[in-house]
Amino acid sequence: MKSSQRLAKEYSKIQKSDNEFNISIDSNNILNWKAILKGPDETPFKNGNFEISIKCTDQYPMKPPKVFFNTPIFHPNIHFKTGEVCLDVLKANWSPAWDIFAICRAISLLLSHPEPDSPLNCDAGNMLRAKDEMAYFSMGEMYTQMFAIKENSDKK
Amino acid sequence: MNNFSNLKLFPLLIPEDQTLTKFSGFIQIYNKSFNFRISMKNPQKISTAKIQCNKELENLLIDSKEIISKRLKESENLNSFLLEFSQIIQQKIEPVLRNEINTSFQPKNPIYFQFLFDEINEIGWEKIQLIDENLSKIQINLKDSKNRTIPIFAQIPPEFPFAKPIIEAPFPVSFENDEEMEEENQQNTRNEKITKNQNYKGSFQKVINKITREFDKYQDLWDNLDDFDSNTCVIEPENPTLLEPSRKILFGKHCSIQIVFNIKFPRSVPSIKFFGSDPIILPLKELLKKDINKWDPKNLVRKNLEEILKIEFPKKTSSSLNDFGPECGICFGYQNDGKSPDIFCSNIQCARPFHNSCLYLYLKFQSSDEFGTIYGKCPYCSHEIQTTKPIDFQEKKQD
Ligand SMILES: [Zn+2]
Ligand SMILES: [Zn+2]
Repeated sequence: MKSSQRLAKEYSKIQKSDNEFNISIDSNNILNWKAILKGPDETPFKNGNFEISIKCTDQYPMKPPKVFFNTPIFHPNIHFKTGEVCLDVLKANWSPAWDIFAICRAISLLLSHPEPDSPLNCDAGNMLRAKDEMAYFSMGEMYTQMFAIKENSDKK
Repeated sequence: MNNFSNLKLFPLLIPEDQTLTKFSGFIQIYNKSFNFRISMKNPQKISTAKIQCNKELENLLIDSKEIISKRLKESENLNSFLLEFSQIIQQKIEPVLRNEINTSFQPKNPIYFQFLFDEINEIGWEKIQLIDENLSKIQINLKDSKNRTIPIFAQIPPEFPFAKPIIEAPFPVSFENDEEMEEENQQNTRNEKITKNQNYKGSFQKVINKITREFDKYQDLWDNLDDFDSNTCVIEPENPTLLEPSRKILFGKHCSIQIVFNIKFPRSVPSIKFFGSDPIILPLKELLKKDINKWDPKNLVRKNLEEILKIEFPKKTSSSLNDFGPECGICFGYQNDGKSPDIFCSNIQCARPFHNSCLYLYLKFQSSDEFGTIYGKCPYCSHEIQTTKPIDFQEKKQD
């Protein structure tokens, strides 16, 4: 139950902050969290809202949570179908110093700083390695438009 | 809040805290009160509840476990479960009651409550801060001449009023010291219930008067405690009162000092213990050793400490405390099974506190060493850090 206690502390801290990632607890289980990442400017994901799930186990924070994109995204380090995220701090470089908020910030940073050398999406990775920014942007923007921008949302 | 107000049918079940996930007290069925506790992980999810009860109730419900867990799963809220639960008890208890007309196994003599409530009426309910779930410990808040609150506790034995309560006050006090009580002690026989009861009445108030008369002697200690409470960031005791003559206060980067006052001479050098990263606290220990002769017993203890250690203790409002708090860097809590963080990263830039048990659990994932000391890296700064296997580690693993 130590993991729930720590997550409860994280939750109350997030509630007191401005909660820029719209972090919430999913389905009344404190081990399962959701967040909405805004596509950063100057990326193919601009204006998109990407929902991610963060699933902790009762070994949290000794072991990292599993993070998935619920909204499909065209990004070299995110699996297009499963939504799996490749991020060092969620694997070998995990430490209990990280928390849910810091994970959201790291993934948000990953959106603007892709690592084409460890791709989960080979198409996206190959485009970046070939320095074909045009192709990367047009594919990325297309999927952002398709999945991450709601009709009614503000276009700005 | 709903759950709480709905518990009107069970007035002796009292929430243990504001989360409304734990209730304890009594369930009354017919003329019997059963000691009972229910704890839930989530107030909305009654199915997660755990039940503890006394032996009598446990024996009574020994073959009803299945139906109880079924009711737990089905019940919409705590109140509806409790109604179901008390019905189960009722069905079980009726045959017992029919068979045992003579022997009632009530937990406490009715006279217990009658006398206790008489006592409380005399003290005044407004002074009663807390009554515990067994109605056996009460907290009475008294005021001194400076209008400070001094909590005292009365521990009521189950044999009350035929046995004396134990009073916990800032200084030793007992019913025995009272002249009248002593007299009564001599004629102490169980047969003389009635006269004894009559003699007993009002003794709480007498003890309280006696305690209040002593308050003047403690003004200097309380001035010093008050000074710490209003001018520093006290992290222990969690809810400091004038009853505990010690304070653990936070200063600087995750560091703290524990001060235990000399009760007789509150302004003399207290016993002092430092907690924190070695490179921060070792120089302070040196300073204290070197300049202890500068201690001026006319000054407040805090003033003396600040002057000798050349630091100004931050107040509770200070924003830096949010970033440099005393909490464990792994579980984010301060108390963990009653222990405060006891290992500190020795990198002065980091200085993070950890519970030994938390750090051990984490480092164990990284290194396979099972014997004694484990060497690893600080989760925050990767500086080398070491920990030893906590004595009670096996136990914790199961929970
Ligand atoms: Zn801890
Ligand atoms: Zn460190």
